Amino acid sequence: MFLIECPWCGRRDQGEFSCGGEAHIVRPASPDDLDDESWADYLFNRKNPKGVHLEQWVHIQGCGRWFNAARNTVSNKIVSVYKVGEEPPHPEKRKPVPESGQ
Amino acid sequence: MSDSTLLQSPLIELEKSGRFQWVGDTIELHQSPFMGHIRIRGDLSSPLFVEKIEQATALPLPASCGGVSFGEDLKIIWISPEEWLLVLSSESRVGSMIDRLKTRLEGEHIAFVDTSGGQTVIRVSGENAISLLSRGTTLDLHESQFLVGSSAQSILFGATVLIVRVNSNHSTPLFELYCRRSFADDLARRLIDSAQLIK
Ligand SMILES: [Zn+2]
Repeated sequence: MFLIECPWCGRRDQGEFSCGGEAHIVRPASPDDLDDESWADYLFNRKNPKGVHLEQWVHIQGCGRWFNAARNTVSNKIVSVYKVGEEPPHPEKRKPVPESGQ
Repeated sequence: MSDSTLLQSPLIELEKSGRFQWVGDTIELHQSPFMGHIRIRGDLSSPLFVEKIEQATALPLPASCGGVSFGEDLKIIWISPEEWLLVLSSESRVGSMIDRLKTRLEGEHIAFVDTSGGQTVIRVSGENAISLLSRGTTLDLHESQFLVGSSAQSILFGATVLIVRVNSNHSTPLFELYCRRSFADDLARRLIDSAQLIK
């Protein structure tokens, strides 16, 4: 069972959550000034790292609130959760956490 | 058309006569239909909002996850950091309560939504109530983890359900399940099926 820590409700089963993709994507201040390539980059291109990824999650079956999570895409381990508007965790903490036994 | 034909219990298919109930040796299921359900949204950091809600309901507004305030014939259940469910004993009391809240909170950034028609309550009680519910949820409902008088919204037998642990009776716990009326029939059937497997 994969548990996710909601900042408001605590640890709950992953079935209560939905992922909303990469976090911290900022809409360009003046879209009219962008060329097609930059606009497409904003719309479609995502980081897709092998390692810690900053993502938006929503506790859809619980309190219904959005928050951010730093998740290791290799181990599925969630390094930290933080509220919308808060700073992402320090880069030191974003290094992949070695799995025990490796 | 009279009111009695408009007001139909969500578990009408399971009701032979009167209100829905299923009684086993160690588990009982009852429905409490037609209660008043009001969704309140507002800002907990606004002292006026908290004060006026507490005045109008004579109950403290729960501030954190799992909080429930129990009154004589109403309760307030925490849903999210800015949302609460106010439960009244009857749907007929909803209009006057919303009027009362609106008058007191005029000009505030708030919302009251009457969801009475869209929700129902199934009460699960008996010594094996926790065993039954545990078959349909990942929550740990043992009272050391899920305190008497607390609540949680989660998935129960596939439906989104707000679970409230009501009384303090250790041998026969009582839970209230708040669910959408369109899920109620399925939820009740799954509860009955699972209850029949528990001896
Ligand atoms: Zn939550």
